[in-house]
Amino acid sequence: MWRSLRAVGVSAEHGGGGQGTVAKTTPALGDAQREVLRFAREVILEGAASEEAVAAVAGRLGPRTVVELPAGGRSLERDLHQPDSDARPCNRTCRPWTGALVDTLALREAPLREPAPGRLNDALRSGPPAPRA
Amino acid sequence: MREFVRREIWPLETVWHELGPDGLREAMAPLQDEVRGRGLWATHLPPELGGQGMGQVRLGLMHEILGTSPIAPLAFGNAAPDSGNSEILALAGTPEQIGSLAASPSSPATCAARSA
Repeated sequence: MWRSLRAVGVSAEHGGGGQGTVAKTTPALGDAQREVLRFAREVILEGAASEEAVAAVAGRLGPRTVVELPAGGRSLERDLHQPDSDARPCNRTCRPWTGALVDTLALREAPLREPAPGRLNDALRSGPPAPRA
Repeated sequence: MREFVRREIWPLETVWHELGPDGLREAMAPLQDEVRGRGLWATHLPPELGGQGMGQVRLGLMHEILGTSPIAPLAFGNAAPDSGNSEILALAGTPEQIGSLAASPSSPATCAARSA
């Protein structure tokens, strides 16, 4: 929605984007952290970051960080289909910032998927065995 | 509450490891003030201790939303173990015991002690 609002001239702050309370009121935040916060906030609230936010994160942390966010999300979706894999790939490979945002978006908003076939999942699906007569 | 958690808490998770405990506390303070302003701070506590008297069942319903983030309960004054400790104090604590927890700025009991 915010993208649509932006298209008709609504400011980020009024449209639900912008910095948010934390970025405005927390002196401990560095510039890079403020930019990551803005990027994350836009992605979470709108599903896409503005060109300005992308440019800021890419300029400060490199284009790899911007690329890793959606790439990490897709790898997470893939991993959710693997019953024995670590469902949080960013715990293994990604940078902390990337991992947190991937966790935020994918783990919480992706619909729960049907468990993969397997003895344990089949048993869980079918419930406890009937008592023997 | 859901909108607040999405708007303020989820983005904060991207940087809270870098902020460290002190930085997170600093970042949380204005959010806690906002929560207090909305009457949602430590709502599981009885009104005489600064809450809304909602109890454990409604606390559980709140945590369906707050549980999407490990740091969301900190903003709402109902993070474990403080939420349980403050309930015990509400049930059986002496004024001195409630006051002894007032040194912890993010504890629900802080609010309770201030409000009592």
